[in-house]
Amino acid sequence: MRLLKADGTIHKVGANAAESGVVLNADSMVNSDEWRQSLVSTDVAVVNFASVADGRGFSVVAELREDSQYTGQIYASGSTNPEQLTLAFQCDCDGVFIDDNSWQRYGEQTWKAALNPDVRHSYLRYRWHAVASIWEQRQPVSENNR
Amino acid sequence: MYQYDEFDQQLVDQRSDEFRQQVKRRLSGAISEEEFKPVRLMNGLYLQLHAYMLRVAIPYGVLSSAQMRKLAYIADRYDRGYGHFTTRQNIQFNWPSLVDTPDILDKLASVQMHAIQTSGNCIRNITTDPFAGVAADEAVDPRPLAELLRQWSTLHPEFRYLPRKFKFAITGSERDRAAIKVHDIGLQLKRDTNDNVVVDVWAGGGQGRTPKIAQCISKDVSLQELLPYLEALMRVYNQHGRRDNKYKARIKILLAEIGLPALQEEVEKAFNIIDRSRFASVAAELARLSKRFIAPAYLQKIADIRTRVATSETVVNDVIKVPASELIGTHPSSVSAEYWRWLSRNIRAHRHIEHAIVVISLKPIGGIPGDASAEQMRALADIADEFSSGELRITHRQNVVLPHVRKDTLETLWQRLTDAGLATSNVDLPSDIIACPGMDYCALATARSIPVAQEIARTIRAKEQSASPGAVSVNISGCINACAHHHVANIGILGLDRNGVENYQITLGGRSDENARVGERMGRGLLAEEIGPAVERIFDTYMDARLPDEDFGDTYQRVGKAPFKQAIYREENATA
Repeated sequence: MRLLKADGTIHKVGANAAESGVVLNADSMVNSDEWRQSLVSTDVAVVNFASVADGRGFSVVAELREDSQYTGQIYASGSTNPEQLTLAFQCDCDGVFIDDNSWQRYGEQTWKAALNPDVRHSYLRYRWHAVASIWEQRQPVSENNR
Repeated sequence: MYQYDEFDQQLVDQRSDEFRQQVKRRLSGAISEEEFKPVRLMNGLYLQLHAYMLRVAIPYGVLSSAQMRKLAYIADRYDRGYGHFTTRQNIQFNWPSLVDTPDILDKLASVQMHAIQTSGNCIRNITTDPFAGVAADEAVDPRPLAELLRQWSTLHPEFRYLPRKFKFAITGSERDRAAIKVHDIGLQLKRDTNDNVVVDVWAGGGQGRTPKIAQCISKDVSLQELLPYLEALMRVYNQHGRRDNKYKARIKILLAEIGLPALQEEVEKAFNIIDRSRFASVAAELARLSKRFIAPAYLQKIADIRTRVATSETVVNDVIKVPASELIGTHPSSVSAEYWRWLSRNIRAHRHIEHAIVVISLKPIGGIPGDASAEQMRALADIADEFSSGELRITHRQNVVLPHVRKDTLETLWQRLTDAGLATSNVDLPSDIIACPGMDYCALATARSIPVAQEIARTIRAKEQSASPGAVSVNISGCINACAHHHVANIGILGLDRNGVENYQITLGGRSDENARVGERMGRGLLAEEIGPAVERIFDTYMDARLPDEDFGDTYQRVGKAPFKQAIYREENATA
């Protein structure tokens, strides 16, 4: 198992590392009161993605980060691919657990490329690597044009 | 028209490069079809009955002549010399080979086009009124907001793996030409009493197996709050939409299952959590976008179009029909019958007194609805340059619009269109049929659509020309997925397979305008050869019952189902 962090680092971790902290199964506990209660006394939440086609986890991560009542770390685990690694970080995940099988299947190079993409343009602002969004970068230009 | 800046261009170029690498990996066998499928779908590439199909986005239906020429080039170079315009203002190429698709995307990028998110479970092409910015009855030009939403939804990380595909439509007129109430989210732009632009948000409309008319989930949302509100709505749908059954995964089912108050409450909760600082740049961006929709000079001369429209005696209240005499200023006897028919049917009211909106029918009698050959695309581009400031629009009904035509050039334009085989005078008549590709192309279809549509058009043409009907919509789908929107057609036809025989069910009275409603099913299904005569009898019944200036939808609502049903099954009734 590896933990790929938003700061671009890769850490080898134990097979059960993704079960540390409070595990939120994105397919069964979405945004319920029980779900919120479980986070009160933890500073590590692990959002578990059910399958690569199931994008609920992205909304869980994004909402958790924006919810002022939770200030801890947010990790993702479960089914994911290199493209989704980028999406998880854009939704403001602190790290993503990748199991050995997925790591080997796509290869180290592909994962590293996904972790350190050349361009991270998006129109709306995401906090990953604090890259200014396209809309933000355009603002001075539009000011000059007025 | 909106022009890309370096950021838009970089994003599209980067995506094109990425897809080239992905195709390379697929062709080399490094990734399987199973792994490649979600990737190709995110880039508009389907695997159809006979070949790959590439769906190219035409954002809110607006095309420049240069873009149309590039589509013609792609049709010639990589396809079989034609393309198919769709009900969501896109174009589909039915025969590209996989190895060519990266080159096609490069060619598209060179004219500021792409195929991003034209398929897959994500936010699809944003559609709007094809008369946006020039319609006589428009309160707010929806195009800047449509472009803002295009950018917001493009590669949005949170909404790339939704429960199901998701479709937005926007209108800025009370008369809804964008079918907003049969979309997952429909936005109605209007002005409040202080003249500020506000938005009514409609949710849960849709077609397919379970047709639903949208409900208004929030009224008078300010432009400042709109994106956070939509993001909250999408977030609730992403988390709560069903994923156990793809036929129950659209937001219409979520709305039906939990009800409007519960959905409103969930969205409100999500809305209150959303970090507004992420949207700090939205107002400036919307202002910038509004300036980038550069109107042709004739429109720039009008200081306040809305005031002029509201007070001018030239305003045509019913923009569906503009008297031809008003457009040409002469008596009908002075013009040819063909030109007169075209004027009567294909022209719509423009906000500027010296201009007209021209609808070019892509429904030649006996042709394939929505198809255009490469040659016709080039002709359309040339015609747009000469008569419409180089701009074209694609309509929800699979036709083409010239938005900026001077009235004193109409006759020359008509002649040019006639030469190009593009002057069919049947807009909003029964032969202006929406048809899905059906069993001729689609792997999901259970019946043919195109040949049946062709036969209906041939059967009804003489009658619709000699009568003076109001608007009548005929839509035909080749399976229950309802790609041709038959549920909301005045005359809807659904092709099914009954023990190996194609069988067509008729629904009547549906409409997709501001009074949207789902059509009522008639009796037993008909055989393919029975459909044309049945549509003719439905048309006769409408003409008999019609009040002056009444469209089919209004007549049907007034007189009800009975006389139409009786007409469809006339022969059975006689023998019973």
